[in-house]
Amino acid sequence: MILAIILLAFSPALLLFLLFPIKKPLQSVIISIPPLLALFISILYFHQREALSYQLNWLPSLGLQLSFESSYFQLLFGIFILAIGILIHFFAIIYLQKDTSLNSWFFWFFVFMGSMLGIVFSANLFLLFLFWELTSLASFFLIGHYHEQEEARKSAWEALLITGGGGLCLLAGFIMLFISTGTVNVSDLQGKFDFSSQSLFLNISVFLIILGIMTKSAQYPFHFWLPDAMTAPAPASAYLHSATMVKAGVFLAFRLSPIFSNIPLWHIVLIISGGFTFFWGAFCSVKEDSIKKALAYTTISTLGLLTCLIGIGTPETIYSAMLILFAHAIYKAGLFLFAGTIEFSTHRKYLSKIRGLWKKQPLFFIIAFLSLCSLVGLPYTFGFYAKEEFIHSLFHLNSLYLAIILLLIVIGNCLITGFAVRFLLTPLYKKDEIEEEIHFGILSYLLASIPLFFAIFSISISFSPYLKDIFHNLSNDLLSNITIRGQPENIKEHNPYLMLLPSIVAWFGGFALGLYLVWQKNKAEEHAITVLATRIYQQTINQLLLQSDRITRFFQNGKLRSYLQTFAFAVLIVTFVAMIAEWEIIQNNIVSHIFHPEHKTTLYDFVLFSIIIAGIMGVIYAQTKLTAVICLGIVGYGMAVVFLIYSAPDLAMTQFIIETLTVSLFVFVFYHLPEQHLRRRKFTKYQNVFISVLFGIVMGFLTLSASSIQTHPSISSYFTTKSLHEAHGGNIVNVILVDFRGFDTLGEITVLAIAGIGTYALLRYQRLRKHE
Amino acid sequence: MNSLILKIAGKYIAPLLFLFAIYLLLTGHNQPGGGFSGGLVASASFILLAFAYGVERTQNWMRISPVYIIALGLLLACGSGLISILFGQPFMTGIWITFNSLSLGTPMLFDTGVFCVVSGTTLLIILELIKEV
Repeated sequence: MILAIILLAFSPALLLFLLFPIKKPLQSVIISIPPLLALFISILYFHQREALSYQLNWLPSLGLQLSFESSYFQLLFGIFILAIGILIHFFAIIYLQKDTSLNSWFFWFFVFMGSMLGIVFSANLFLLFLFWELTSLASFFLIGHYHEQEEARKSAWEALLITGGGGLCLLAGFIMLFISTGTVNVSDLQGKFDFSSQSLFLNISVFLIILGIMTKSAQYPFHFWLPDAMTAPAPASAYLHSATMVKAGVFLAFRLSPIFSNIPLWHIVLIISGGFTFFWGAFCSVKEDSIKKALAYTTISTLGLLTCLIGIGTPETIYSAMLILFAHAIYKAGLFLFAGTIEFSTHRKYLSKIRGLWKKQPLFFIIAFLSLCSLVGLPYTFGFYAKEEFIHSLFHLNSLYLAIILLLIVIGNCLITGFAVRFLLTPLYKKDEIEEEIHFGILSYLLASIPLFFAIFSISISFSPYLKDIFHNLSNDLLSNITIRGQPENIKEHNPYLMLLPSIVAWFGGFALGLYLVWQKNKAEEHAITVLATRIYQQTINQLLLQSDRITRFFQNGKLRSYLQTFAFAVLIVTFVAMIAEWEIIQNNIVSHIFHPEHKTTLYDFVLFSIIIAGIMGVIYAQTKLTAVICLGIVGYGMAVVFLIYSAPDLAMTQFIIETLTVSLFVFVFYHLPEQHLRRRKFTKYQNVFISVLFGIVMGFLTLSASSIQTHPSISSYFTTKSLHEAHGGNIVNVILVDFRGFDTLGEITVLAIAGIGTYALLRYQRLRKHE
Repeated sequence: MNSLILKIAGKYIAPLLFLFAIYLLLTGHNQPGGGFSGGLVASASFILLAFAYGVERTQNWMRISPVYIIALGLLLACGSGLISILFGQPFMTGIWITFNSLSLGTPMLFDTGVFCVVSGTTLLIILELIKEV
């Protein structure tokens, strides 16, 4: 069933192409049916509190299993992903109605949804990584949806490079974890492995995993891709910020926190980076003028808080982090969709440009107010409930911790409240800057209804007893999973009014700050540190491109001669190193091999090798290329005869044919080459002599050592015994080619075909260009 | 190139060469030969014709473009590997049928694929090169 949920979420991406005859708005609605079905199924199972799991041996040789599982928390997260996703999908149908590349939008949107569900339900870390990278890829296309704008392309790249690069760190971390523990199944890791003895290796792997989490969840200093990604269409931002993408990192931290609870590094890094990010995001949001960017900074701030709470790692903080995660998903989706609605109706993105909007549209004011309530955490909202829970959870910590974190929380909340007040008051402020001709059509109201729904939902949910029930179950589920580290001291019942104190301080402080900001009318400016991070990133990318361009130009200079030189030289170095490392073995074996008493030189050999050497001399002293090629042909035929004498008729025949074809091919190639003298400068000549002589010696040595040194028992007896009876072939060479090693041959002919078609394309291209 | 000797000789030698190529392919499993050398000989036969009569006439005789021959070869090679899957065995396991003393098997099909890819690639490149002279 769990597989069905994931597949149903992916399916609209495919359905899109099957339903191509149906016109757009209707088709877009129809494709949302499978995810709705998935939502229905998951709610059903959620209600029955049934744990689902699915397992399939996918690549048993790699130990990779297609295994999914769902605890209560995972299923709830899945429901959020599906429900928010579907609502955003409906929003997008209206919002992007005039878009020309809607198909690609819907495709990547549902791929994104499916892979996010994959992350949530994966029971195997490698499988999780697969979906992790898939979300990075899908978000690349969603962020860069307006690909005709340079800025959108740039920020899409930024997101992909940062999250994808973090993903690679994550993979490395998982692999190292696998090496040190022998399993990547989350449940096995949790129970069986004892992390109390920590090696450096394990610590490095944990650090790499944290890097993956930090990049995905936009923690400082990797946070800058998230505000830059605001060039994306509003629905993409809404989805990225609410239930998916950035939450993937937090989710992974959730999953791993019981496993790594004994590792100090895990806690230290997460607490410090999370705490700083929380403060920094809030600080940046206060002055930012672009609505979506400011919202993005508040998301960064919340993500920082979540990471910090997970880093602290007591069951209470983790439970409260969970609540904040869900509360944030709801109100942030609403806020982003609201920003999208404003953009859709007024074509404005900046707060300072929509002055007077509330006066024209009181409804928008109400939506803004209701959505912001939850952000600020005013009483009777989901946000309030989550925030109070988390302040409660902090009181279980020792007092130094508590003091620092509480101070940070108050400042951070104060800043966020400041932003909210500014968001609420600026459009109310003074003169009408909104021109008369902007009309609010039925579509605007339709759009506005979705953020309104989110806002009302996040308020009404805190009144429902069902919610309390859900969260009670959640905390039970969590406690059964987490091995409590250090029993919390006696849980004191604190005065509820005392608990409210930090919030109240933050509200009033924030309100004052907001009023001050509105009054000041400060022009927004980008903050120095964020600019610095972006600039460092830009410089890195630019330098990377520049240097790789330089290297490419140096090596790929279009001269065949220098390619050969480079190639030969590289092989020389590698072989030399290998030979020096294994010198003892080579020395012992080769000497005995060369002076083996069984080797006798016959007249045949003498004549044949004289011919070959004469051919080589001809190649070296030839005046024209044609002569050189023909002399090379002599060498090749000589080799073929050698094969014949030493009873390898297959090789000999192939060598003969190849030699014939090569010579004729060369003749035609020369027709295209510019007339060129074979005489060169003295230096070049010596250089060539040096490289070729050395190359010859090394290759000869290599061949000798390959035939004389045997590290494993020879396989040829296997071939000779099996060839006739089991493979029905008397010609062992051919049987090896098409049967025993058929897979190799399949690869070879594929490469051959690709190379051939590539050559053909180049030749044709040149001819066509000549004709023009 | 316009040589009467080459034209007359090519007319008789080219079909023989092609026959020889097929012979090499068929006996390859038990005697020297096989798809690779067979494919090379087959392409040599057409290249001889191209030398004698020019590329365009050769291409007319061939009827299909070498690109399709390559594609056919790859399909045959992959397809022959897939047959064993139908019998519930791993990819590219040899499946054999025996009539009296004659054994036919999927490696034969595979070798034919190699034959097609090799001859197609060689022809594709060399014919394109000759065309320009």
